[in-house]
Amino acid sequence: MIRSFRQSSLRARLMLLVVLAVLPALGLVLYSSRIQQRLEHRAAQEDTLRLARLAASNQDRLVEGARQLLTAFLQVPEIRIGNPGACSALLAHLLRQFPRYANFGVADARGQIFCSGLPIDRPVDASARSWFQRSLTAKGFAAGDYQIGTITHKATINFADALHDDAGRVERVVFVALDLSWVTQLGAQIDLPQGTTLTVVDRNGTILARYPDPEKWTGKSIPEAAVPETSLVQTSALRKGEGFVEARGVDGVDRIYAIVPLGDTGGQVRAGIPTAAAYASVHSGLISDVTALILAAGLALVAVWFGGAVFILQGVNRLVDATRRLASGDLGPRAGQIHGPAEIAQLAAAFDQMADALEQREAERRRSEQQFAFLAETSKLLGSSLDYHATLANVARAAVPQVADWCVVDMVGEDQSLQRLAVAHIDPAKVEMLFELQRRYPNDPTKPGWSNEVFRTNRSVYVSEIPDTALESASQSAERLRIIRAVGNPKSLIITPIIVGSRVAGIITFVSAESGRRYSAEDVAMVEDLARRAAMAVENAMHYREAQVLNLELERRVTDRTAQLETANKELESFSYSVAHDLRAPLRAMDGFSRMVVEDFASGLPQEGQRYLHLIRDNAQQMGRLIDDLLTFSRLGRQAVNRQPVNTAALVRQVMGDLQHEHEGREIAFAVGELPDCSADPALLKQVFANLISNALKFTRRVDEPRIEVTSRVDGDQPVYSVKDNGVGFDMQYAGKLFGVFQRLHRAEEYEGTGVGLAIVQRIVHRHGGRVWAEAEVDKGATFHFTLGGAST
Amino acid sequence: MTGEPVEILLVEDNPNDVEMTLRSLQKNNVSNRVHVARDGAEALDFIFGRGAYHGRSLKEGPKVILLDLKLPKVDGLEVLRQIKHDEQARKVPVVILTSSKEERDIVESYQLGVNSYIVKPVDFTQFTEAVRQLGLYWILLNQPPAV
Repeated sequence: MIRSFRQSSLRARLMLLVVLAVLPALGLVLYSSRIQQRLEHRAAQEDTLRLARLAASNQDRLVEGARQLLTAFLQVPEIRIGNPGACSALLAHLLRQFPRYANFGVADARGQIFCSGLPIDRPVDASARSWFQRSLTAKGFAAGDYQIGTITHKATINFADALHDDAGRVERVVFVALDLSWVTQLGAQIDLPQGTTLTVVDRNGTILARYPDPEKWTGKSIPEAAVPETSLVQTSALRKGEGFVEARGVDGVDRIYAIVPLGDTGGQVRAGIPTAAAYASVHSGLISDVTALILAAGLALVAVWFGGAVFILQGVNRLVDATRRLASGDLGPRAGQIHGPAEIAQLAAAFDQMADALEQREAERRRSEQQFAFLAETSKLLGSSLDYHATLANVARAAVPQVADWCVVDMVGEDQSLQRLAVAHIDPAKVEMLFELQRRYPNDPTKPGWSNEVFRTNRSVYVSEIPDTALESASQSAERLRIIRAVGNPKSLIITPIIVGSRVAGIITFVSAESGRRYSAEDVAMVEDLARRAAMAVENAMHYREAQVLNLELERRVTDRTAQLETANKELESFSYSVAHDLRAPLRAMDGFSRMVVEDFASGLPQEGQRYLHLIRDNAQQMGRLIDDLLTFSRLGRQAVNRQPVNTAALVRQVMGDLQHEHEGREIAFAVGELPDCSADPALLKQVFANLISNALKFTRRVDEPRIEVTSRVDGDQPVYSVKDNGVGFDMQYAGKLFGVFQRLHRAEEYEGTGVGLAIVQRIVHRHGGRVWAEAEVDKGATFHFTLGGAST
Repeated sequence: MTGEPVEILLVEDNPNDVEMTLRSLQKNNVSNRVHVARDGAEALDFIFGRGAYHGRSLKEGPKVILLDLKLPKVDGLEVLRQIKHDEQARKVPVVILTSSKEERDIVESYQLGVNSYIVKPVDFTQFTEAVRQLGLYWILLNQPPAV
């Protein structure tokens, strides 16, 4: 469908060209026809004018004749004074001699025709006739109007002359009735074109005579006769009163009329030639010209249609076919040599060039696609595993048959000899031969050979076309050559090094044999890229192996260290246990026996001795407390923090209850604000509050109105708990020592304690991920703040 | 060997503690009928009528066992375990009287079925008071099932 449209489109254009070429000729024909028409118009005008003039002069002649005849009649006695009989006889005789006239007659002064050429029974009254009245008035010659004669029963125009006496009284009026049928005869006599009319009208516009069909029109007053003066065409060639008009006649036919006035009667003669007739020749000429032109154009079109198909479209069609096949992916077809117009031939040649270029590019594309696919696959293989032996074997397999007929990977072993790592061959049966070749006839590094060259230069060796002689010399021995030929006679080869660090760690050999492939510089670039990736894989694998060894070593060390730590921890635990158990026993003994001495032997002991025993006991007890606190502190480092939702307010109340005994008898104002619940180890948090509140109780001992507040506020997203007292406070410059173990800011005599309490607080808070800080002023009190880390619950 | 019925078996290796405990018990008039075992093995022999105490019956006491944890030969927890695994012996209340405040000792003792766990205070006054109270409770107030 589309195809036929395209073809016909080209044809249509050619045909349009033909039509365009014909157009000027057509214009010329039309123009000349127009000129012709103008000439014909002029000729028609002249013809009608001539006809009209002829008729006019004829009519004038008739009128003149009538006048002369009348003048003559007035001299005839029979007419002047004769009796009707004699007069009529004469006139009848004369009538026969003048056949143009319808009748002759004489009327008396009253208008009674008493004498007539045509016989009459009795006098006929003509007093009302125009010719009679005019003649009577003029007392001489007069022309009458058109009339149907009473006697003749014909259309006549009568002329009259008056016979008068000496006194001028009219006695008789003689008339002649002119028969107007001559006009018809004149028309018939002249060879006129069909439809030509010839009309004589009187001054009133009444048709006096007409050719043809006189009986149909004569006597009528019609538009044909009443031509407005303005429509008359006046030219210098015309005489006075003459003119032309183009109008539609009474019979509905368009005509060119020529109008010529008649002498003194005031009438006119009109000759009309139908326009169609006038232009008939022009039209027929035009028609034949145009027909010829159309015929010629038609012939030309036919020639273009068929000739175009042969000379142009054939070539174009071949081009279109070739292009379409090209578009559908078939790069084979060519337009070939086209014997046609030079342009089409050039187009075909250009097309073929383009197709060649496309085919070449397509081949390149396919090749690079293949290369890319190969590289992509090998990259995947190289990245997939850290076992580079298996990986390189996969790479070799991937190379065949995509880029090589056989592919060999050799790696440098620990003894520096080449170890055949992998072989791939399009014929799997020959894989073993290649392994066997390397086993039985290993490469001799001292002899020439392509692999040796690679090792020497650290660069790829590339032989696009291997000459037999080169193969022989590179094979090192006849036996090797025989096997290599049996494996597949190498025609083209690339050997590329796998460079790890700066050393050739191995080589990959790509060989093309039966496939006929010839390696190019691009292939070298590709396999070098591959070799680089392979080198990276080898390197990675080596690193991985090293890393694995390091890792194992590290793991072993960690295990060892963990075991050591566990041992140490156990030792520490048993140490703590010993401290708890064994250190306290002697203290208890010291305290116990001192007490026993006091109890049992107080009477025999001086005051000072008793005091010393008390001091021993105090110190033993202090040491007991120290041991207890230290054990608690060290336990906190090991113990897991068991976080759970804690009702802080309830916990604080419980702590206050527990500490009741520490402030018995003292009046202390406790204030507990709103304390939000938190997430903490309840036992540890209790210890924190216990230590802080216990401290507050201790350091408000000497204050008149001791006051302790436990409050909280929210800072950011976590609550800050505060324990505030109005006790002795401390100097902020020692605040840094506050949370250290055994650090005390007050003397032991003033405020007892081990100096471990705040260290415990800090350790618990830190183990919760929170922080603790204090603000104080000497004698104004102290406030301890802490957070617990994490979000509150 | 049979003898007088024993009310308290004190298992304690530290002679000082033994002396102080006995003194406290005596001073508070709890009991004079106290047998002291100096290690775990001896304690077990005494309870189960073995070795040096062959033929001794539990019917002869004790009414309560005061057991230290840190003992030579067989430690206190092992002694406790054996007592509480024995159908007869388990009926005798065992009070751990030790210096250890270790949580795990306390927990394990209770899991083994100890009847009471008392930490020996360093302060002798408190120690005496503790001994007095436990003697009062377990010997005078407590009504054990017949052995």
